[in-house]
Amino acid sequence: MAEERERLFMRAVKNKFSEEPTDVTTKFYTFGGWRQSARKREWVEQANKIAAERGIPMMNQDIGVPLGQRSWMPYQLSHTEIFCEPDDLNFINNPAMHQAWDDIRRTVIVGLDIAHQVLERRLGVEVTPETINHYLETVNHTMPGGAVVQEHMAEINPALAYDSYVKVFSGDDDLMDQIDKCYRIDINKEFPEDQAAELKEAVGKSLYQCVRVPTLVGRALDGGSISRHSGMQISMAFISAYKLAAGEAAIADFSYASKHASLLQMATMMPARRARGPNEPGGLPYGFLADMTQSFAKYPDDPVRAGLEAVAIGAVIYDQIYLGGYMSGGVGFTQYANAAYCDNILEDYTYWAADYIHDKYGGFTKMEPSMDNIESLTTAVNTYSLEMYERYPAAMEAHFGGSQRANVAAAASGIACAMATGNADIGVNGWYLSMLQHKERLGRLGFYGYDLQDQCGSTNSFAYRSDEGLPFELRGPNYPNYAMNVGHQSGYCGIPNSAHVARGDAFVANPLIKVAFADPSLPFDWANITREFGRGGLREFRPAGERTICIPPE
Amino acid sequence: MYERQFYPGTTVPAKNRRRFMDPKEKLEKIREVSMEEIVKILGHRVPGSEFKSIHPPLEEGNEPDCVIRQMVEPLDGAKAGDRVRYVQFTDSVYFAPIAPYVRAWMYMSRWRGIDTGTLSGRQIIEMRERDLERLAKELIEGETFDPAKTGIRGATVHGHACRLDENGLMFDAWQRYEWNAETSEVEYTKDQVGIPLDVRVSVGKPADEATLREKTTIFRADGVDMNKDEEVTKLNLRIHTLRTYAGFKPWEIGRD
Amino acid sequence: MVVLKDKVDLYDSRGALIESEVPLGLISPLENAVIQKISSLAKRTIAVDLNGIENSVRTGKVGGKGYRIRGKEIDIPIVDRAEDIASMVKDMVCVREDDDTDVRIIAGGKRMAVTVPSKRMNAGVEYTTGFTTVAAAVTQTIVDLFNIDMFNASMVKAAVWGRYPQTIDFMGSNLKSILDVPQRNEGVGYALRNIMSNHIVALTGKNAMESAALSSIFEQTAMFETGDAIGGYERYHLLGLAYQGLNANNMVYEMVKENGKSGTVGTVIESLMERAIEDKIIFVDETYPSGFKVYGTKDMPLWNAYAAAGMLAAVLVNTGAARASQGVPSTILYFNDLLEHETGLPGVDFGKAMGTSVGMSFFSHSIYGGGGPGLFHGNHVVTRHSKGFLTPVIAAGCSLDAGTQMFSPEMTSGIVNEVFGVIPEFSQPLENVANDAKQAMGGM
Repeated sequence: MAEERERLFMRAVKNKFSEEPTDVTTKFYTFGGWRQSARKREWVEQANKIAAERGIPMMNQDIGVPLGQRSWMPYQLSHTEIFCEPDDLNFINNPAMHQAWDDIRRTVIVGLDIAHQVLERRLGVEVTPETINHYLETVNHTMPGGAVVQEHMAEINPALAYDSYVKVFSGDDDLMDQIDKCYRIDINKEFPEDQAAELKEAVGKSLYQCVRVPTLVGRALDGGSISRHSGMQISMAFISAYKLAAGEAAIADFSYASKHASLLQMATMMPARRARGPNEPGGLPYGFLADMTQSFAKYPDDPVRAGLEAVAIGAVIYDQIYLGGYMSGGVGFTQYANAAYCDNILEDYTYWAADYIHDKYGGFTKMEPSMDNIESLTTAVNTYSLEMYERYPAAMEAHFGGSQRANVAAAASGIACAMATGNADIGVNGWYLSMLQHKERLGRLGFYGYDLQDQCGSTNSFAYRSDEGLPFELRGPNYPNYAMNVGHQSGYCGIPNSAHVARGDAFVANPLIKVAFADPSLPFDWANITREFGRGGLREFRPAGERTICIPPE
Repeated sequence: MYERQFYPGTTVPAKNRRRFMDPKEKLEKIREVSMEEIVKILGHRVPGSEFKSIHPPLEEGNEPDCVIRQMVEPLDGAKAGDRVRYVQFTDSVYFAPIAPYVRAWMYMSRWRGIDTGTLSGRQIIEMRERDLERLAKELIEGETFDPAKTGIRGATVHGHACRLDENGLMFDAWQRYEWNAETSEVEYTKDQVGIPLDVRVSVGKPADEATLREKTTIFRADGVDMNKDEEVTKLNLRIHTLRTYAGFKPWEIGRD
Repeated sequence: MVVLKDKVDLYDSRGALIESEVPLGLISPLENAVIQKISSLAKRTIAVDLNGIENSVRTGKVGGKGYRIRGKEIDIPIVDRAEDIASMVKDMVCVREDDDTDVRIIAGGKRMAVTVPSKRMNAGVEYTTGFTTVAAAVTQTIVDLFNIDMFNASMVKAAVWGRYPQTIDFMGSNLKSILDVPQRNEGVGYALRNIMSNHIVALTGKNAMESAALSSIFEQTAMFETGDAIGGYERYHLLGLAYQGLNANNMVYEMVKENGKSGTVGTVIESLMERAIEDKIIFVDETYPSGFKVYGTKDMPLWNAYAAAGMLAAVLVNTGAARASQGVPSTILYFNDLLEHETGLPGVDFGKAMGTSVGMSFFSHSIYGGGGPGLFHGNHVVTRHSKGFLTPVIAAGCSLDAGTQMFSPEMTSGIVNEVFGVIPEFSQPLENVANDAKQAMGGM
């Protein structure tokens, strides 16, 4: 039996229900249905007004199931003091979630080395820190939508594109010292010393542009437009800054470099059946999204938190937005996802697992990789996790769906194995064992198709065949088994993050992305993900990409 | 002739799982619910009416020349061309007699011509209509069904993981069933999808907790923890291990 | 070079022996001439709906659903001139007079089957050459034969090619290939996996054993193309083809026979276990205190083949009893679940068959996508995950449906049946493959 201590989820479950968390019985059918929710009351009023104005019926809570026959639960955003209604965590209603996704979609990283070589070798133009600064000033005019070369151009309203800019970073401290401060993502400033040293070494002496295209461009168009907008505006900035011909043969090299050769996109394109262009969520690998999180940089003494923050962003990007929006649509998926980042339930399980690893194996990355050890550690963490649901009916009811519980227990198990070994593939093997044990124990698991990947997963963990084998950091929603079913990819994002944080690595998969998202100018705070989601739920978050400036006032 | 083992284990849940899966073990009948009442709860047709068809009877001779068809006897409902319909159950985590996957294992062991699907909050079986009605009656009358902990619900199934109400009943947002305080019985007032019935159908008294725990098929920390059943745990781990190794070099397994 | 020592007995679809002790290599896609011909014909043979073309140009309805272009309609007697069209197309398509080009008129001129010569296929690398050659030849033929002027010729083109190249595929085309365009393949090597189960059923005339065989041939050949059946895995996949697809040792047939009257998935497992124990594929590895026997094997690939055969038998029995294909994924899922609990050995494809059927169950019973079982195939994102062992079972199960499906083979695959279903390699692959292997043995 697990050691008795105060569970991290106590506050949340006590906030949800009036009964003791260990009580098995409660009352139903007496709460006034949907009227017990302030948010729903607000919406019914709005919907009635809209229906009258437009002459077409709208949301009507008398249609379908009478919501609210049981006590309506508030949700605590994990490792914060923020409570929200579940409706506020539907991504459509949450501008912080929009901005998190917008920040990913509108980002590309474009190296400057090839462009500088074109200038120097092909065109005989000198590149110096001064010229680079001048170029950066120019590209910060063009990227948000300023014109530079042609007369009589229709530009973009700065108030619509205030979030668009270009900064640079490099592992070369000497070079960076000569770049104007306002254009720098300063690795030394944004990371602890040891992480900064590692990142600078990995990034090397090259100079990289971190391009943020306006949020509104990504929203009006799509992810595929980002590298194109970026490429166009970079090329125009080169022409203007370096006084080149606006359309000679060498210009094609800038175009090719900025759109292909020097380009790092956040996500790659998808196959025909679920076709999307680049920089859309289906093509975003777990290692990249994990690198976007900044918890380990800002809270280096709390590695578990880093894993949990990655789980939170994975839940929103992959489960809510990608599977719940792009692939599925409708309103079903919020609850699959928020189980992983609310109420400190996963928190409790994961911190317990961390303590267990320290007690049993002497610390992170010290567990010998073997099937026996994977099984032993997973059994311990998984049993603890499932036991919590069984001993605390309030927790069981908070995670009322089997898919939610399966996700959370497996995430704890997978993160545990990842931290214990520093190997994400071992982490995910632990995840799959958790699923098999869970099914055996409870005689149930998730929704109808939930465990497609979990039944395939044991055998695919360490495989090396064509579309089966792939290091876990490189996998993503287009890894075939994972392409369809919600309730996994939150944990999947947490696992590689946890493995590398446990190793003390400054990045998971790509140092360029780690640095790019350390940028303090971003509207979304990538070091405090659950807090941002909570702020979005409380209507305290101001997103970019708003059109207020060019529409009539309310 | 090989005889199935069905399931490992020495603990109560394991033994009960084995018993449900073994067709030689007769399922105990606990209550009487008339076929007319069953048909009403199912909600697929008006009792006494003809079964609707989805294709002509097989004997009209449109079956292709296929040796498998010649060897496999169709269900009565298949012969007649019945629609495929369903009954769906929700089993509470608080010691309902059976658990969703155990249903599936049991169904596939005892019956033929079935299509069954398993989720955490519901478990469905679809079958040719006249055959389904017979099966549904057996299930609702039998020991896998508890009036308080098992629900017959086609949609809005929420409740398997919720706490129980003051009478020990599982939550149902549509309140398809109600507690009769006078008789201490549970009565269905709506069909599977929540359409009101013209009668109240009693499904009898719920079992007491001691009985439920004795018959349980679920492993729980406050009951029998799965880790206490070494065989079940070991077999489960073995499957994971062998699947994992087989994904690397399957031909090397067993050859050291 | 992978050396294969296994030998199997091959039977026809009615359980009659064709040849004993056939070396496994002789049913491999790398060696078996009939399997190679099946792949070849799949690329080379195109169905042309002449009646469809005639209607399309006459009404202006070209380029896919809902499209109608007025003012450019062309009223020409294409069906009446089918013979002339066939002759002109043959002339254009063949490379040499006596090569393996074939053009046949079907259904009184309404349909035409064109098989493009191998020389054309071998001249490049694409497999779509069959389609493009026929589409180009039919277009030019109609334009020439009926003297269509240049202002309206594009309508003929659209009636033949569909909305291509605006679409990545041939949306609205009146030609049909068994294969789809490469852009729609999920991954490299997936071309032969992209054949709907309903098409397989249509090709074999709803014969369950032949459907399993044809599907298995396509799937396991694809495993060579994806790079999965290489090295140690080659035998793994060939054993699956033999035992599951080709009824090796008559196992599938006998298991169905034993359980057809009143058997369940559970009793099929008993039949399988009996054989696996008797043939010494598995042995008792450990006995638990309760008496439960845990099984082991020294030949996991062969165990997998046995399990795959059992899985097919289970579907034939359970789905056969229902005469309804909707239960196919459920049967696969619980066959594997029960088998693993029964033995302590992994199920088919080490959990991947079970996992895939979990997904297929979901996507054939819900709002989230997918559809009826006949729409699935090895290239489908839902059902691609088991490498060659699942689709044969789906096809076989779909063959047994008596008419419960909305999207039936009749609805989705009519022209496939009409045009391709008369080709013996497609309609009776089991016997043809076996006979080729037998012949090859005679030459050894």
